[in-house]
Amino acid sequence: MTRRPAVLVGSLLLAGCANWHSQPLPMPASRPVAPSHTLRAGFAQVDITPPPGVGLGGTGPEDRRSTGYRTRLYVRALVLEDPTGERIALVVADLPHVSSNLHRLAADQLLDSTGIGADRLIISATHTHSSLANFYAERQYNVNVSRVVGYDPRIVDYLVRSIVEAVEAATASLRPALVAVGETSILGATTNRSFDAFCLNQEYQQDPICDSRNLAPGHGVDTTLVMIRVDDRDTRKPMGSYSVFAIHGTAVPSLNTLLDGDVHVRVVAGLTDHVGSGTVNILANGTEGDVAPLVERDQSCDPPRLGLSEPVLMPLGPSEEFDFVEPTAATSSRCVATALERLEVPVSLITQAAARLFDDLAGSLRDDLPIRRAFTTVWLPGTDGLCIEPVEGSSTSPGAEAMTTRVEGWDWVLFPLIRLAAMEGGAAIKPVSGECQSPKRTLLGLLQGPFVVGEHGLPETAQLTVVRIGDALFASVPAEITTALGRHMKSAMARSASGWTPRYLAVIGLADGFLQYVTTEAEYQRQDYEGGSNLYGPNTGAFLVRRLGDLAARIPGSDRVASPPVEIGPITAYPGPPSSIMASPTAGPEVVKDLGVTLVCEAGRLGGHWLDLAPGRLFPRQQSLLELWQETAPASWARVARDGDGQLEVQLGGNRKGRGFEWTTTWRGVPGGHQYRLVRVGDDSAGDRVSNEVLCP
Amino acid sequence: MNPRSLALLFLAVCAAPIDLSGQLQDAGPLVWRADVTGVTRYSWRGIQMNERFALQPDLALGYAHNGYSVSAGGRASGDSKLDDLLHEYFQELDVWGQVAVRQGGVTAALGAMRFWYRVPSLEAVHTTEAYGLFRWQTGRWAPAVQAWSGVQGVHGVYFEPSLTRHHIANPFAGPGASLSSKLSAGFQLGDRNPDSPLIPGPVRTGLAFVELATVLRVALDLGPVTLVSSFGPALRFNRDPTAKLQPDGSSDKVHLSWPLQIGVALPGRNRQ
Repeated sequence: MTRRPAVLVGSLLLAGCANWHSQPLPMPASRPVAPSHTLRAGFAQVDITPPPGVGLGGTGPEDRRSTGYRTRLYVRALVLEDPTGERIALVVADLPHVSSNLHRLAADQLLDSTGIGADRLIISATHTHSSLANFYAERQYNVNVSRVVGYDPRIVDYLVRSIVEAVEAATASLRPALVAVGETSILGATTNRSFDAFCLNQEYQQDPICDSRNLAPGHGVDTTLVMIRVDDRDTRKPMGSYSVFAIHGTAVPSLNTLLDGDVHVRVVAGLTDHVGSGTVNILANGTEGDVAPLVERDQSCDPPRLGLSEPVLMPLGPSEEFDFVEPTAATSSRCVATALERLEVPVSLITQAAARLFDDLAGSLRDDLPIRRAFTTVWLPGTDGLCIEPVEGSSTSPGAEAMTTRVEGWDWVLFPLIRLAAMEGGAAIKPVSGECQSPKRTLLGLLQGPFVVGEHGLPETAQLTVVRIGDALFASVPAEITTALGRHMKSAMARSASGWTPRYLAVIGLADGFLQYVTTEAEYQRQDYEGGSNLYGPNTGAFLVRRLGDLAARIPGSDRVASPPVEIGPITAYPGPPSSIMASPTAGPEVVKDLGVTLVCEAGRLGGHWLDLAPGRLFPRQQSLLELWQETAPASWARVARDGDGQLEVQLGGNRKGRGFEWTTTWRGVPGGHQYRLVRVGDDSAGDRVSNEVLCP
Repeated sequence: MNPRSLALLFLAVCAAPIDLSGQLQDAGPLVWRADVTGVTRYSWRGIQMNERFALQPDLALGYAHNGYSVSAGGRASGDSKLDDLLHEYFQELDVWGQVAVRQGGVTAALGAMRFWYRVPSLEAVHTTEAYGLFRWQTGRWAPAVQAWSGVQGVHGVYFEPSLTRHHIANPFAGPGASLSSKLSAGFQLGDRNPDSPLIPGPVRTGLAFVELATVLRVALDLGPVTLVSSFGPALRFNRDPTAKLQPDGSSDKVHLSWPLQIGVALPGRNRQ
């Protein structure tokens, strides 16, 4: 996540004071599956777009309550089964993070129907900062990932059900397949946002790029996209793909209030256009800890800053209200629109490279790839060089260079024991001899442990998986790994592989849990945003490198040897007290009689308005809600947009009480000279409702 | 330039960029606020007006659009025992009207204020002053200056420069909360020379007071309105050049007071 602010008192104190609300999570180990003696694969995807009104997560104090959606959000799953019956489920969700409770609860439900347990299920997040929060197993993340605070068990149930549905559907569609793995390099789509920290790594100190501080495209980031291409063996038609590429989901600015899948959902849409409709293409995130999308940032679109927040100045009386002043609606709209345009550059680069790789892999498809896995659950506090207590550093509050928070730059001292150094480096560094977390300055000093985070407020376990698919090795890590550490992990796994040589290596980040960022020890010394987020101190990176090396060493080199046995370790969730955040599916009227749809064209925009059901009754939905049609010839109409495609923005308006809810939609960049009409797609029993026709000059 | 000319010039500058037709189509928000402040000692321009706990209700109405605003309001100040609340409790009433512009961190306002003083056994006395205010918000610092000029009943000019530092504000959801400190001082230029000896005010050129006040302010969103409250200590050195309202001739010039304010304001703010 780009920032987990963990700052200041207020709502955070609630976390420290809350009860534990402990929930021991299930420990489902996979069951053997009867071998089919052939390589099989299945894909599925499930729409997880929630009812608007949930909190957006990932940017802490900048993530507001959602007012609608721009793209739909999905869980996408690929299930692979080798000829010996060894299965692996690779799942990617359009979420800011994945928490261990989602992973364990989904695995538990999948065990009977698919044989897939926690050790063969990798659920990772794309890391969009415009999707659901409030589902975490850790109380602190339910408090500070979004401005909307709380833990909603209904969101957990909803996401687990969607993940299970996707994996079961993919398993049910298993069919003989041809699979190929390959990689390509993508330059110009990403940049290292903590380059100074990156250059502290010994192996890069002599690099001329680090010497000149000339951050050329491709330096300081992992430009590798690793792809698994899957075709139907019988029809020879593509089924889909699974790729790993490192990029933060932060191209959509924090002023956005719409649910949006950011970079990943657009790359997937573009790749699916290339591969073919009916295919499912999946893009997981890699070692993106310090990797931002290479887009031009508009300084005028920074987060809200402190200012006088009252519209009228009073010459007498009490002092004026002083608060964070939100930008005007016009400014926010301009900022988001500009960012969406700039977002297309990295999206286009990644999509084109992925499409080329997909085509190139057609010549190396095979039907005999082995699948093996190794899995472990590790206890973190005090283990093998890790600090005993998880600690948030001061540099976690200002956000990263590519996306700052409203408290960036604060260096506030209340007492000698409490210093809020909301900046990267500088005052966020506090060397203390003999202190495990040194040189990290603890956010809020001695208050953090007992009064803000509280006992069990942050993660205490990590789940790691290493999977061999043919001559490729994939590792999943529950954290945001920096570029340099990712390279260390790959090197360690390559060195540890016994009896075979991995040709392709990828680290899937943000998988099966969330530990925040993990850096190398050298990067930790700088206490940038990522360094301050190493919860268990400077040795966390090396700890994970060793564990992944150990797992890679357990992957058998011979195709005739099965995966090593596993023991699923215990994990207890401490999510905090339950609250209700996602709209109820039963709230609001069951039927809205006035479903008239109005369409207008103003200033190059089409705007639609209609009365409809409450958000909890409309979402989730797998089918379209809206379609925009254009008259291409007299009496001939063609659909030009639909809700969720990234162009047609849908917003929830006011509650008209018994009459229903107001909904609006906007479509920018309307080609002039055409007639348009908007269609509210009918639900099961209701027919479509068509708006008036409008001519856009 | 006399205050009337200054006011006309200010109005002309403010009105120039406004597209009145657009303003009519896009009506701006009407805002109002109502507060009651309780203060242990009421000081004004270096004069300690009373020694008791006093209530000061105030009410303001305004119309704001695109950074421009027109507003009016009033404040009453108590100056007797609380059991006189319904009977000649309020000894002072101040009514004001102003136009203001706020663009970026700069705020400028120009207005006029009418002061009425209740004087026992005598007809109420009153004065009118024109005022201008300029404030620059830069980061967490806000230098400002107010200038007051006598129009009716008083003479001379009064300046009040101030420097505010906003230490911190709640960046998360939930109640708005901020902690600020303000250092301010008052200066009288020229003999104020009130027409009536019953009108308070400094009479000589020079420093009137210096004050350092720290205020914790909380704003709780209640849907359509916001409940606001502020509290904090104010340490003040009063030069008290008149001592007109202190027949006991008190020499206590350094005061610590604890103003407590509770009020409501419209519109409400949803901090999410």
